[in-house]
Amino acid sequence: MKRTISIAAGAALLALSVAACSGGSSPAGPADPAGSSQASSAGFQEQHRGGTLRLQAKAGDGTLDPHINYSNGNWQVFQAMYDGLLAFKKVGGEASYDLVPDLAEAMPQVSQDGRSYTFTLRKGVKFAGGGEVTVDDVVASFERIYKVSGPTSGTFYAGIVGAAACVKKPKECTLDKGVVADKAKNTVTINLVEPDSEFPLKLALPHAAVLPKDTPDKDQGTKPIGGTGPYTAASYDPNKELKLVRNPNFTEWSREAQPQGYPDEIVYSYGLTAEAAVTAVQNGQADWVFDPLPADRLSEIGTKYASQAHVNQLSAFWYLPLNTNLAPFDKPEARQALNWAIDRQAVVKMYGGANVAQPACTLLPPGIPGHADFCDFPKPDLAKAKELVQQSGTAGQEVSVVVADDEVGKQIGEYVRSTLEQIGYQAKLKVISTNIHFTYIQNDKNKVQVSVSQWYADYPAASDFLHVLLSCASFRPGSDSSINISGYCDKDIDARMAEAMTLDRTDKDAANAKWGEIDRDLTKASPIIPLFTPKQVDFVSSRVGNYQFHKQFFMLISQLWVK
Amino acid sequence: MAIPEPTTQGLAPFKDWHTWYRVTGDLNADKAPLVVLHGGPGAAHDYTLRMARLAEQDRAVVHYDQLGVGLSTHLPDRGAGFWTAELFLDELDNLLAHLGIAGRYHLIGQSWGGMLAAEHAVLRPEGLKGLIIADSPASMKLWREECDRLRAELPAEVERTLREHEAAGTTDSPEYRAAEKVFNARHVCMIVPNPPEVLASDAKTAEDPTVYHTMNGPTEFHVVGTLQDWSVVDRLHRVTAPTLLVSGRHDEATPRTVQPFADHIPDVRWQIFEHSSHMPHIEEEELFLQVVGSFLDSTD
Repeated sequence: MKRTISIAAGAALLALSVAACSGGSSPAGPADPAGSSQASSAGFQEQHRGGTLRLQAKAGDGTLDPHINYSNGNWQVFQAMYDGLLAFKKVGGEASYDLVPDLAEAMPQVSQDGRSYTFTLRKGVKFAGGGEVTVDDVVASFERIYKVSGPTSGTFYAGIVGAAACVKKPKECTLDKGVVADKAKNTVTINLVEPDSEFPLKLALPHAAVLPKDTPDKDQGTKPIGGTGPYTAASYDPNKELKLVRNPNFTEWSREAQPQGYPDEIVYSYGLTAEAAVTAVQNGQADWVFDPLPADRLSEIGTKYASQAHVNQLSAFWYLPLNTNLAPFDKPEARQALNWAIDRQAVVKMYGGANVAQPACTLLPPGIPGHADFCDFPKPDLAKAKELVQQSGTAGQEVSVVVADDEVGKQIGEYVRSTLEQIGYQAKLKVISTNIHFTYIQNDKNKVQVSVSQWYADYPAASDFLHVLLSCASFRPGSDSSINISGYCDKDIDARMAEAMTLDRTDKDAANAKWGEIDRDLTKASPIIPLFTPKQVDFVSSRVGNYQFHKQFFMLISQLWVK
Repeated sequence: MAIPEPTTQGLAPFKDWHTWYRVTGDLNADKAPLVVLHGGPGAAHDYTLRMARLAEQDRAVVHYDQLGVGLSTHLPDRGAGFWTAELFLDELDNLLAHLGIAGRYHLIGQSWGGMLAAEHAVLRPEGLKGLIIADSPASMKLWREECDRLRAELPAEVERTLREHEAAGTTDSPEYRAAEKVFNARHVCMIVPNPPEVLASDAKTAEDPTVYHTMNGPTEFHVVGTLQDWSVVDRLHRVTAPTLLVSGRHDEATPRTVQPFADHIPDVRWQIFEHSSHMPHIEEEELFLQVVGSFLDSTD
């Protein structure tokens, strides 16, 4: 998924570039891992139950409908509100990428051919609005994914039998052969058209949440939906506040899948700039700020408030998509030239420095299966870049760098423009609204040659980066939803990716080794230039305890202590 | 329990070949990383993957395939003179250097991996913080003697089948393999059917048995390879690293087989897992993680 950086926070980042040039001190250090580990391994600690957790963000993150919302912020909140058949284990650290049964009683029985997953539903789990979860709710929820035209209905869940027809005619969707309930046995069998070793991961995402079967088949927006998690929304105004209260019908059924929460209420307020929110956290008026921390405050946070700062590497990267179907980047040498010319350390400084990002040599971020340790463009080499530009025959051509109008995007864009000039092009910067940037750069009709973008893992799989961003199938000419922004299509690479996905079913480490090789070959071909892997810096108030960082959904909100 | 996903993986160049490795967790974390030496020799890393769950305790865990097996370079045409303990010791040193952890690491070796770990430890490497020898013999003489004793306790017809096929040189026959399974279910892994990762390692050994057959022989209990006379007993006094011994009550590495480690390593403790055979890390997974984790924490 993509994450949008706020303009206000971006503006503040400029300051750190100046500070960094003048040798400013380092910001926040890492959390105490032993502390996190000890806390997360304990059972529920009753003495910390209660209180109101106060969260801050500049703006609400869209609909409360888990089948539709595709943003980092709400996915994080949804972890405390909704459940699916499976879940990523709700703990901090490496184990948070493990799958565990959630509404399902156990991990599924998988047929020999890998096309059929049978789940036995737990008994006794209730929705916030009352009523026990039944197999009918499961079936209705899967059909609803298509009926509301969910953003991943045509991708993550397209492999379910009957899904293709549902995508075409959402309102008429029925999955009578794809999601089959057996009331007598209390089971649900999901049948796939083809085996998909990543399917269990997709079932653990909010888009596969099980909702009451009578939930209307349209985006519920600000209207709360009663889920099965420990919290439910009492009210939501994306311009003001989201208020979560305890789900009166929640009884913990699996600590790993859905632990009971500590705060009695969670109030997520909107409207403060990141600057103001940081001050509120420092003053104890707020407990956490969602937006990226302003660069000019990082040093202060890292020194005076070090014990309240937590730094964790994200499974994500910032990158430059290069249009491989348009001059000059239809020439591999031209792409490689820019890859050699980019100084990733300089770009990291623009983002806020080494404590909030690290240079990326690979397309797969650390922590994503298949990530391999290689670096074929270890440091900038302008001479080599200029030589490659000459070899490509594209010297002197005009290149526009298209960026969003946030400060970070503009800064990186200006840097890329300047670099292109240095290596022999006539370059200019084109700034467009953040609101349309992502769709604009996807549509090849807009003839974007190079832009700045980001990708955050939907789930921990190499294919979520390499296949999604660079496969032939992900390039849709003329579409605003053509996530292969580079328009790159290499049939051999596609075949190798298919092979790796198949191998994943029988030998994950061998599959990962193949993904590592594919990553390396793609990096060399340079349809995408990786820039850096961002880190998440969480700043909490002094009263907050039990911080745990989940690799998929970030800080575990429901597990924070405020008393 | 689920096997954690790796944080990264890669290939470490080793002479004209490469060693494949994977890392779970952060090598730069406060706690020293743990390197897992798989058994066989030539068994591949898969069956030890549950040890990666030690990364949940904020310690990086490194798995790798030793040369000749799995995702590392295969060399099926090499003979007995090539496949030596020294080769694998060099490979381990090379990997430690490649990962930048030669200055600070722990080792856990399972079965042959523990033999290799002991060979490494007697050299007194500066960076070795803690040593775990899991399910390993201190000498192959003891191993063979104890395997013979365990075989004698098998049903008579099973033992006869094994003996006859070994004498006839038909150890790849279905009858022999079926008889082998009886021994394995008692003394190698009591979880039957075996977990997928154990089957994966077995499949990889079968796919390329060069190392296993050359150094060990056709089975765990019929050792006729180059390791048949191996012993580290007379050098164990040189081990200075704090050491944990791990074995199962029903282990083919019987208490008698493990005893010399306990007798001769100066700083040593021994945990016998009462409900395990050769794979306590699978057979008593949670207890294993707790015991090993505590030991590692005490020796960082």
